[in-house]
Amino acid sequence: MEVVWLVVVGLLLGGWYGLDGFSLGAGMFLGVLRGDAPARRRVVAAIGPFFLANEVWLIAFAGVLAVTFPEAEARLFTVAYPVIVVMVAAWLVRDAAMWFRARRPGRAWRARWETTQAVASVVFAASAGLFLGNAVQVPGEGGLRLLSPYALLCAVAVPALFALHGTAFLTARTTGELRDRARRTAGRLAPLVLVLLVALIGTAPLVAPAGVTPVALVLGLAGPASVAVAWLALRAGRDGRAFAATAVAAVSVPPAVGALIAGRLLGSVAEPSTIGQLSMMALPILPLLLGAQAVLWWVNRHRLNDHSVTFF
Amino acid sequence: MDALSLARLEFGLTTSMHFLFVALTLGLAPLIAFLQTVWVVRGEPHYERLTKFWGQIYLVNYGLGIISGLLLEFQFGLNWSGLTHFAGEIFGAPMAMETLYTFFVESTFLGLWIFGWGRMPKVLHLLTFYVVAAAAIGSAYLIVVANGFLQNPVGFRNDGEALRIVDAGAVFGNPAALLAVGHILPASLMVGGFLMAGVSAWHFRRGTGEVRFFRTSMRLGLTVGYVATFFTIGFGDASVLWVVRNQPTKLAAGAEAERAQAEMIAQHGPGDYLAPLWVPIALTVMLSVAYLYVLFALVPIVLLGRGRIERRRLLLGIGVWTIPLPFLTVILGWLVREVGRQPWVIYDVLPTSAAVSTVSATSVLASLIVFTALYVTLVIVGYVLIGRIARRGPASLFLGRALGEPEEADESATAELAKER
Repeated sequence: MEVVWLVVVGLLLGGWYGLDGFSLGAGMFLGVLRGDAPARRRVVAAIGPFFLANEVWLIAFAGVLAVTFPEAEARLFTVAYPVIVVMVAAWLVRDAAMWFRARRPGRAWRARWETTQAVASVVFAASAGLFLGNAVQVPGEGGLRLLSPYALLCAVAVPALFALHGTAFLTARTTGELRDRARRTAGRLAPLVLVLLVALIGTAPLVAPAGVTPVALVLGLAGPASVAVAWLALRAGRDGRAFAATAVAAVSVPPAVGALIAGRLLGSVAEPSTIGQLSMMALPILPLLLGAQAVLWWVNRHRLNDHSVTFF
Repeated sequence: MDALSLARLEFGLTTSMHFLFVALTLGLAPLIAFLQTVWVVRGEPHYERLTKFWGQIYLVNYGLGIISGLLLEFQFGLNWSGLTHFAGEIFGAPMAMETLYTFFVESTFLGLWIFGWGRMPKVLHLLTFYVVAAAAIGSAYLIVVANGFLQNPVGFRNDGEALRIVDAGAVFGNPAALLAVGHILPASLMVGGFLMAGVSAWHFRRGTGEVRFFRTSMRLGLTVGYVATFFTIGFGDASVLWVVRNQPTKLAAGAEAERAQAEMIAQHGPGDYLAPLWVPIALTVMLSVAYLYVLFALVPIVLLGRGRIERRRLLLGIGVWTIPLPFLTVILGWLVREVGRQPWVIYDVLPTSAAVSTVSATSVLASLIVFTALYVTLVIVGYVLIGRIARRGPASLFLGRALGEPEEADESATAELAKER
């Protein structure tokens, strides 16, 4: 049962990487589109329907982690305190930018929030990467220890991966000039992300105290392999396939890290009574949650057009 | 200040500001569900406009609720790992279920509601909002179950190191939780109902011309708010009775307080176990506000018939200016409940000082400053935007707008430009 919950926790964070990852990446792309108000509006419209349903995965991860692996959660959160404060602050700002953008007239007002969203998305993604990089190691207390080379590499790799994922999403969901522009950017990002992910895997044995297990290796290699697939698909103009491949790459990152530290996590698992109660109460809802999200995707499966509903 | 006081201050500030939005979300959701139901059943455009207009206010407020709620799930891990460590099994379970069963469901279905506008079959679209409203209520219940355990720990075994669940039924059926839900839901309806009436009053005062629109809104808001007042008082009084019997250190005064204090000292050693003196005063203020509504909300209700209220400028003005009153009162209620529990985080089981994380005061201070600044900005900007939507009335509705239509701002872009020059 503990392993089931380990998988659930990994998938919840993986789900956040795969879903909010593209909201964040598309948010970063807003920074590239400075001065092009109509294109920026379409980027916001493209992520709009998924925005709410994407970010809930991280909240669900935090909530479930706290109950199932309380010791690990308490230790991680206390050690990575500043990282989490920065991450949640950036999250607040990113969301505020999204919600406030269209709620007042004025180009300047909107442009300001769009730029804010771009910056906050980068900071949010970087601190999420920093958090994961620190989870791999067992860092001591103190702010500087959190900025180890491996954690910093993660803090670069995760935003890059999200930027690729976000532009792949925009390639698949928009049309015309914006789609071409997103595709070109994604094509340029793909080799960079490939290198970064390979570097992360290559250096993992140096920092992971428990060594690299075969499961972790397989999950880890899924990342660069999918990025390679995405790169080819982008060049071939297969937008849907490219987006699916970047999604797999993003989703695979947290489970790979989870597999690296599985021993430590399982050692801190909650009492069997808790796990049992929670399994009975919380596991049955999971298929329903996935179903609801699938309906949302089905309703919004088309590329953006003039009739698409906007809100943000 | 030490880490404990700073962490308490941070929790109090952020949770209070979060609850301002929660109360309105909880209060408006049933009203909008009602309006949309009438729209779907009767097919009248009048009710579609009502659903859209109040839906817009609901949504912006909901967004603020999400944003201000993000931190809370993380705050327990950051500042209160002692609580997570000691009672995570019991306290964390309803919290985790809240994230999965209600927040997750609520956000996903709200996405469907917003972006399915005009895209989904009408009945299905209505059902998505029913799910949203039900999830909001479920969310309130689960959070209050977690909080109820802190007020009245039940169904657990203390093995010295941590608390273990013994009886989940007792945890989820905790009277401290059920009474609170019974109190919070109608209190939120007061917030939502009187806001609806207050906004309508503003439009009548200004003579904005949307007479039928705001007549329906005023009637619905006042009626629901007024009826909810009685339920709020009923469950509130029951809660007070329960507190007097089960949490003697919270509201007691005089000889009774001394007895409660002596009992605590006998059990747990020396210390100050009584709640601050202002807690009973805050309770009295809260009760007074409720009775004010019982007395004076009757006046506009009597004048509802044949639109007589629409010309009473003074009365309408009072309706506008008292919009914040229910908001402030619900915060007062939480202060009574939470500060009154001190010095315990889990009443009679775990002192608050043992719940705080082993982090430096500087770290907590930094996060307190960062988040207080963000929250205050959020509250101010948020209410300015909500106020703007409320004042513009149903003339310009953006809910369900298509990408092909120009953005609101573009219509007045020239005026904006002129102003900037």
